[in-house]
Amino acid sequence: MPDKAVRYRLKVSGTVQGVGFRPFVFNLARAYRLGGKVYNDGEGVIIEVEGEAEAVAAFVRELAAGPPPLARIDRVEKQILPPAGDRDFTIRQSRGRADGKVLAPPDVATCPDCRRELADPADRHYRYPFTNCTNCGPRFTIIRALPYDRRRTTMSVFAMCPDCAREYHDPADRRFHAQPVACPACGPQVELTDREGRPVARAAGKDWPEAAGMLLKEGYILAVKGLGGFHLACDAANREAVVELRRRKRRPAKPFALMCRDLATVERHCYVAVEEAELLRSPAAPIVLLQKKADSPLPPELAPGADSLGVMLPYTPLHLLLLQAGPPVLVMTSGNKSDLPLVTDNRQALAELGEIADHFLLHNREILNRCDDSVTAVVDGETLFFRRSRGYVPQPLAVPADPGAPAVLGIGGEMKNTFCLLGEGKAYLSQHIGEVDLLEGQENLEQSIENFCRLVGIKPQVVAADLHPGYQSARLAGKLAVRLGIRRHPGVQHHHAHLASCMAENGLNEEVIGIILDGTGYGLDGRLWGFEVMRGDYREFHREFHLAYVPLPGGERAVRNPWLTAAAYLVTFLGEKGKEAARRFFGDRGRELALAEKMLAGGLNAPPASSCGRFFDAVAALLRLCLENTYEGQAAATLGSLVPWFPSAPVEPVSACAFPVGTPVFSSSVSPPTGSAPVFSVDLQPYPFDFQGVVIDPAPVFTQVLADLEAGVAAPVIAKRFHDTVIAMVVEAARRIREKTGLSRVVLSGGTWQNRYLTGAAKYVLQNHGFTVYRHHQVPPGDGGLSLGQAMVAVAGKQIPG
Amino acid sequence: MILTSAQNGPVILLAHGDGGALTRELVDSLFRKYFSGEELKLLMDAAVLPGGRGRLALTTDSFVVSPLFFPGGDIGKLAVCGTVNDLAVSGAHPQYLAASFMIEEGLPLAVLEKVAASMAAACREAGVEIVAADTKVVERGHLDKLFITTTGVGWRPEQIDLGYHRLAPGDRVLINGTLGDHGMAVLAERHGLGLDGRIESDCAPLNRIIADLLVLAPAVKIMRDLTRGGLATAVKEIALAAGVDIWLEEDALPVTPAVQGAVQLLGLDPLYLANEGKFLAVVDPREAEAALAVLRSNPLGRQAAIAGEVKPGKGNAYLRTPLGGTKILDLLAGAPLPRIC
Repeated sequence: MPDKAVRYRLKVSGTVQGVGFRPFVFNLARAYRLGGKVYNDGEGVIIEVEGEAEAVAAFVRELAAGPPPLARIDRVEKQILPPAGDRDFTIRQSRGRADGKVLAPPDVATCPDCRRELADPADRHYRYPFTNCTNCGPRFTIIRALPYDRRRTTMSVFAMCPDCAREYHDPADRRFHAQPVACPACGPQVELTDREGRPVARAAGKDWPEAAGMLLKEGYILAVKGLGGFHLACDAANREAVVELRRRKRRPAKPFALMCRDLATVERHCYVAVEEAELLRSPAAPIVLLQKKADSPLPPELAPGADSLGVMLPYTPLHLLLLQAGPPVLVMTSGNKSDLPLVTDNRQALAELGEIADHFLLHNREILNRCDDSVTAVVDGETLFFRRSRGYVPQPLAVPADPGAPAVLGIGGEMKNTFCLLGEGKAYLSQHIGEVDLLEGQENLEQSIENFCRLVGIKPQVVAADLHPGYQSARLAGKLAVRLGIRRHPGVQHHHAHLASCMAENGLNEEVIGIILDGTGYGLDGRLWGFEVMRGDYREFHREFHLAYVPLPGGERAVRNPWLTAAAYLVTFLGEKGKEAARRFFGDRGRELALAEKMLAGGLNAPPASSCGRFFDAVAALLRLCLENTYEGQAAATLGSLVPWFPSAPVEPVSACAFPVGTPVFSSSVSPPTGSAPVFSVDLQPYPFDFQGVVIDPAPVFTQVLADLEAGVAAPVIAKRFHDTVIAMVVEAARRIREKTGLSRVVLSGGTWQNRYLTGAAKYVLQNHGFTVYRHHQVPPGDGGLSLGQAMVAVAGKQIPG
Repeated sequence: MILTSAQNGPVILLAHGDGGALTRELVDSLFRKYFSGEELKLLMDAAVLPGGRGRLALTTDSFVVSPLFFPGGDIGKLAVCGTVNDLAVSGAHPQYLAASFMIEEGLPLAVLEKVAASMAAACREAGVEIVAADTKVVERGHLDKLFITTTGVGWRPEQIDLGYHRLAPGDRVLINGTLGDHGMAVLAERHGLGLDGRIESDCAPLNRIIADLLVLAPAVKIMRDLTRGGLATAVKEIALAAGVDIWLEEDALPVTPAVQGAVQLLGLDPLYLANEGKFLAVVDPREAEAALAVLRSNPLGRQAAIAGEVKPGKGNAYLRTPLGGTKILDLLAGAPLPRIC
């Protein structure tokens, strides 16, 4: 046998640290009776393996085929070494320093094994809220630096007890080198306090889940420290508690996220498709927007005017215990004051959330990286991200960028901010940072960039930002450029960044048609854009078609008050008739309307905007669905809730159809679905509209909406025809671009594509017209994905079109 | 020969600016009625003035405003107060003004007379004299009705030491009253907004209230009038120049209910609206209360307030909001564009 022995050195890179990879290798090597060693180093996991050639080959095959559930192998480099006579296989101490090739893993929802132990009175982890193993537990939120090792996490202050240490050092154990391993004897502890941080007297004699569960059942609001920050929790079935939480948080209408005890509970309130159940139970355990059942007894105040509920399952032992002892459905909304970053620190929580929460469920494991819950939906079998954060970050995306290019930081937008580090052909999108216009948000952004650069080991050479002169994020980019001595990219146009973002996550490199629909972004003409059909690649773009501009009386005030935008559309596009209509519709606004008319006439603080979001706002206001936005996108979301729920499961493609512009009614028939795919009829009935050169004229749409309203046509019918109109407009624009250029690949990006009917139906209509359609499925289509596009454009070089 | 238009009575002709008889007539019959300084009576090319005590302070400013008349003021009052206030916030006692009128052909004389009378009244209120003047008339359409440039001189006592170098962390920022009145009044008048509640320009000469302040609270370190760009721009400029941070408290900033209502409806920010009778003073914290009392005892400072504080920093200006967030204040840069996506 010795003469047949071979020895390989395997360098494995990817997500291979902190995910039980070395024990897996260890057990695999033992199974094949191989000798050698395995250890982590800054570049990944190094395996030296020695034995019979066939056994070694089998070892290598199985290594690549069946790694542990959380591991992701990006590359294996093989090197042949002379045999050293090793008979034993061992796990060695980590070596070297991180240089960016080792990936810090995302946080992982509690695994089935840990859940079982949590419920087992005989196990020493019974009811322990911080139990975890190599397959689950906190990661990104507690890691200070790489390589990932307990002493570089916030668990470093807890000395392991002998039992935990034994498991930690036992290569055969599930907790072998599980860095945050802990038990009741040695790990973090929970504390239930009042607003002043004093223990709750009524909880005496009860364990914390019982006491906290009791308070929740009685209708109190709790601030709960979790994995990436605080939640504000109350019993979702208790209408008074929900209303009170809305009042205290000054959040009148924005939907609350819910946490349900288990999947059965979710299904009592929502329809859950197979794909959605998988996502709910995935290691990332995000919030999933589900179609609400009409007979759900939950109060409508949870999500006023919405046809969906945002639901997640408990993803830490603490949450599992809380949901078992407390109400079966909890509101779990992010613990922050309006517009401020998520609270992560106990003292800060008592100070900032003291006016909102009655009690505090605290613990003493420090949160190093703030991380909000991810928010997703499943449309047409694809995951649609509203927010990509906990459970996904800092997992990189492979993108078609030159691996040798200098590393770039895309600093992101002003709201729903994320930033993106792009280096060696990989894009590391940050956790959700949120709004950065306030100082607190900007400090959060700055701090997060610093932590993140360290965690992924990338030092950016260039920083890119949006062109908006009022964005604080762009100001910060300038500041960082000076402080770090790196180059400041001249700026990436908002919608170009969206286009690039969608191209990047779909691995596209050649020029495409981009249908970019969103609220507002700063355009190259100094005006606000947001309904853009363009063509371009990473280097440049050409704005081919856009919706006509409408002045927004009062600027941001119009964004907050869709009725003002509606009035502006009527007055601007329908002349005297429009003025009359505006007075008829919004006469109840009295002098405010008169004032708006004067602002429009005199150009007083009425910046022009070509925006899909405002187009939606206007129609929602005419239908009197939403006259005031209390949160971003409220009017558009309300309008979107009136149209058919596009199926979550994959839909069969429909047959091709002709497409005349300007006709009052247009419909396309759907081929009967085959197999088990859901039946969904994409039956377009757009309103008429006009193209005037490069401008799409919405005047006929408003004329027709007014006529329908007058004729008493039901709101859902108008809402659907309006959605169909938007689809018809962009499809027609895409067709004209194809005629001119021959381009037939289309990317859909921008926040409006979070509308599930639009995103679902547009794809099929475009396909029917022979286009190949690319949507976002790894990165949010909205501003949460902007930074990726900024980074891609900055890497590509040229920026501003001629 | 004075041409008369049907509606407006006598109007300005190009010849009123040619330096000849009509110019003379205009000066004699209109301006001299209101500007009666001894030096001006000499009709010399330059005024030669008696010396004062301290250092000479000199400033000049041009005034264009549409409309010429608005609630609480007009271009004439503005032209006097603006220049007086520039001198006053520099620590000087304004004494003499020169005024240069650029007039569009066809301007009714009655309009010009009203403006001149208003200037005279403002001079009396401020205790200054117009001692030199000039008139030019341009063809119809070459300017909008009337522009006025005023140049002012005053004396700054030797002991007055104002400057960015004196700012220190802890210093308080005082303002003498409500924000945004002038900007809002002019906008409302220009666009015929017909807002609730009367909004008047705060246009007023600040030299007397400032003189009181400097006498009774000598620890004033720097002053600025809050004209174009408003309080926010002034504070940001000071922070940049002095290399400190300045923190304002939104709750402490006085705004009249009428202006507050109007800015909300128009989507404007009172911190960036122009004022013509407001200034800020940065004061040693130990003197802040005394300085506030001085301001409040003056008719132009009844609603004076301690608006904020100087902190160590690098040229940032912040506004702490009642909800606990902190807005970042920048220099005014054109009309604000929505950032909401």
